[in-house]
Amino acid sequence: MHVTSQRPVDGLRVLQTPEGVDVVLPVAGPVPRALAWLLDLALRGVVVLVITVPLAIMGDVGTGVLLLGLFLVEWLYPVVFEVLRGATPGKQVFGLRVVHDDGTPIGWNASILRNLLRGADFLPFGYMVGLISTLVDVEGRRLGDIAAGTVVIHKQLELPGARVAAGRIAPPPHPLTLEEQRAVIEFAERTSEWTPERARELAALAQPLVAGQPDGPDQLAAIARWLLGRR
Amino acid sequence: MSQEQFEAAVERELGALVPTLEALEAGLHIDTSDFAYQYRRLCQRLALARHRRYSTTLVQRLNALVVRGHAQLYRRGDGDNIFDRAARLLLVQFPRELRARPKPLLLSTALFLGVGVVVYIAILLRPGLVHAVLSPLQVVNIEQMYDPASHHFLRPRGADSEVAMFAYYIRNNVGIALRTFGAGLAFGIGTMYVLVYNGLVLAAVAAHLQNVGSSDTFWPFVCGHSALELGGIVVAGCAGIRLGMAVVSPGLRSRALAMREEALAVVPLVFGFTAMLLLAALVEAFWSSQHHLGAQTRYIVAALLGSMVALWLWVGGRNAA
Repeated sequence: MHVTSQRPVDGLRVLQTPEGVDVVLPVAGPVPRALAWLLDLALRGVVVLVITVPLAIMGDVGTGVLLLGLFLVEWLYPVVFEVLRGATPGKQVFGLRVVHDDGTPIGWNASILRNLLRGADFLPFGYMVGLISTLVDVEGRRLGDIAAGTVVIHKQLELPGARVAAGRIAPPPHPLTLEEQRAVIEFAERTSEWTPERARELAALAQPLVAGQPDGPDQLAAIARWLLGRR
Repeated sequence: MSQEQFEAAVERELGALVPTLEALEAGLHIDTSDFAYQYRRLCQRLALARHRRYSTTLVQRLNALVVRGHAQLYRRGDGDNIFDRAARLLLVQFPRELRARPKPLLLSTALFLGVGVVVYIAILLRPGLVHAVLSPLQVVNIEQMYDPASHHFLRPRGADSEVAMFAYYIRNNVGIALRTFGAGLAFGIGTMYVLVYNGLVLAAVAAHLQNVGSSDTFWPFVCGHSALELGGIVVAGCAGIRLGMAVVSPGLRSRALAMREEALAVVPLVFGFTAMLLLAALVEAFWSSQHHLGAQTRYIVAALLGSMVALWLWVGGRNAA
């Protein structure tokens, strides 16, 4: 069963790499992006305030530099951060990254394009067009993203593998399909995330495996250890 | 092979790959002769892990590593140094791209300059028409700004206020042009509206000042930067119209693809009009207000600048590689 033949439930962009393997990019929806934008707005406001104070007392040259600074902050702030760091500070706080839609880090052209086209996404007010585009598009792209060929993704987290603790090992009573094996192993890996009552409740669903056993989660963990190859 | 045996084998391979990956991400120059092989091996491991339904944490970890490796292996080229590229962009690619599609350029010119010329002549013949375009407050403002009898034309601008005006013009003009361009995505209608509106206002201002006799203060002031600034706005309009046309009639492509390809194609135009307007701001702030130089000198310089701009756009990029 191919990954790409499923319709993903999460917002996932599946890339087919030239090596023939499918890579999954978790795209970001409008909410984290909107929050990141608000944070960036606040940061820009702070920067503007900070540079206004000393420049205001420097007369006309100060005014000139200030206006130049305003222009740069307004138009160049997102571009510079996206190309050099992958995301503006607001986006970094929310764990977002901007990449080309083939997964490569964003370059100057694409970043400039997508940020200039904010003018279109902002119409008629408050990023309405951009918001609608984000909701309609499968990959959550606003018009600027579509035109520039970029996607905003969640930063890939490399979670440490949850190891199944050592313990009793028991083979399953009958051969299990691949799906069932995976379900049992994942249950054993994630038991620590649940309360004991919840773990028992879930284990009770695997009736043929835990029937007659006093401790359902423990039995499933034992079967999982056997499936993982510990003998 | 069980999952844990698989993970053990993967760990051994990753021990070599992950340091290489981190060094590449940090921008260090290291020996990458077997990076491609290691990356392909990692991709094969990911495919196996998915196929054998190994646990999600393992698959996610391999997926994250493959994304990182992919980003390093298929990095867009770093290219030559920034100055050569900037020069090539502005002097070769920008004029070529502008000439490549004459129709949007002609439309932009017609909507901005054509409308402007028509309105200018109309208001010259019927002075009262200016009130159909400008509000009374605006009329009073411009009359005061360019009144030949007022004092401030005799004092040269201080150097500090010139810097202030430079920054003001940049923010104002480049900002307007960028918004004109961006509005092109809305089927080009936003761009066309901005072009016509600005054309009307500028023409009305010019004609009215001509009518009330302030032409000797107005024309010498604006002539210097007008070629660059008006040209910049026309180019911005052209780029916006091209975006709009891509959305309206994408031909055989989907609308999203058409928008994307067109946006990529007009990038040289964006850099071009930004450069033109920056230069216009430079001229407007530091040159245009030098009234003590007299009108003749300024007209001559304006003619020179205008022909240089025309040469730039007409000849630029024709014989270059």
